Amino acid sequence: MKFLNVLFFILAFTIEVKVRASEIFLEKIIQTPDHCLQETGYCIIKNLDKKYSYKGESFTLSLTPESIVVRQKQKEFSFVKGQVYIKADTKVTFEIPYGTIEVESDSQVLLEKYEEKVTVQTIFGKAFLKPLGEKKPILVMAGHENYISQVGENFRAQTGIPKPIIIEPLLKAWAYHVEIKKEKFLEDVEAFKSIHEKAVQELSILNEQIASREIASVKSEKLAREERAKKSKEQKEKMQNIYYQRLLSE
Amino acid sequence: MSTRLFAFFILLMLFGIQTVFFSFKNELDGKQELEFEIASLRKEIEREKAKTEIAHYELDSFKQKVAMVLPQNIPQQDYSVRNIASIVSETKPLDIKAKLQFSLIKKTYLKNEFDKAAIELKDYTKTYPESPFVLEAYYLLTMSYYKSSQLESAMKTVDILVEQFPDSEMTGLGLLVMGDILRKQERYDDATEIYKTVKKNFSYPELQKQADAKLEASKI
Repeated sequence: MKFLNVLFFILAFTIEVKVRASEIFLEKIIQTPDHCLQETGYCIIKNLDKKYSYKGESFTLSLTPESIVVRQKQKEFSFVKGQVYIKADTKVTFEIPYGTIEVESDSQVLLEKYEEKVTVQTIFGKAFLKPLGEKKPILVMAGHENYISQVGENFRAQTGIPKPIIIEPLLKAWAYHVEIKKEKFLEDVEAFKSIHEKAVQELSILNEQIASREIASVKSEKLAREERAKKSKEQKEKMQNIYYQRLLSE
Repeated sequence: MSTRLFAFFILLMLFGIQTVFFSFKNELDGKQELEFEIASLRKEIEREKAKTEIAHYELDSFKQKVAMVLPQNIPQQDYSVRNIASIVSETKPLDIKAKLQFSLIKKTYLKNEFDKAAIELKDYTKTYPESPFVLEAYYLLTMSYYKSSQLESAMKTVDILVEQFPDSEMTGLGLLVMGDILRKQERYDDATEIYKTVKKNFSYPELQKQADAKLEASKI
């Protein structure tokens, strides 16, 4: 019986080795030019694996499958596709078609590109958005998120209002990317929780102010609209009278 | 002891045969080579996909920069550049031009220069068929033709009004003009029918009043 067990083990092991042999050729990441990751210059990095972590000088990037980043310089990247988590002890810059995202030192940030929009979620620290055409950078504080999208009618890349991150999807993504012990992660989540609560409180005050400003602007806009409609009606009636008078004069 | 030794020997032999079999099999059927080829092709596809994504990224960056820079140059550029600008931004310079031109033509009409107004209005309806002022332009064209005694052209323009803007007050006014033309041509019954049609189909009070007045006049 023991002998049979050993026999089966050997057979299974041999077959397993044969199957694995074909998989050895498959690489987990694509790097263009070849082996550029070992250097420090231009490098296209595409992740084919479940997760890929790029360790730079004082920062780490984590990429979801099919995500693409291009390393331009040591701490300068172009974010092309997918989702990237950044844990930076130093300032790291990401170019996107709609502007630039600067992740400040001692920060943890999650970037996600979906269609024509890049969402920036700051977990810890801070990030700055520099949308095309906008002179002042927009701060995304810890616990907040914002986005940059295409250049709009005002000839500037569009951005939203910083708002608290929706916590559940963030926790999933965060847990997926981090490579720390469970206890340390739970500690970080606790710390984030208090930051997030503060962000929610700040938002409610901001919302109140925005709402009152909005009400005031709606009121003035309504008045202006009424004025415009009145003028246009008067003009129309004047023209109509001219037409009717001409018709009557026949 | 000898049974164990025998079993071990058999096991070793079996393992040896299997190893030899698989290595020969791989060598002879070229499976390993094919696997290697497939893997490198897959890698190449992924590499090309990544390059395509980078090209899209660069195109998108270029589009954003064009969208940001081009509108500033519009006043100094020719029409073709203005057209490109209309793709990247929502501004509609042609609408403004249509509005300006129409107000100029209207001034000509109000100055009673009906021949000139008729030519300009006809040209306007051809150049800006989708302008919001085209309905008014057709009505003024009808009136311009009528006032400059181009009665057939006036009738044809009223037909266009009826066809394209059946519910408009301007069409009602145009039909009244048509009635007047028919009366001038001594086709009194047709004229009465037209006035009745206006009265029946248009709910604008002023228009109804006009139609009533015309009907009264045609009875006399």
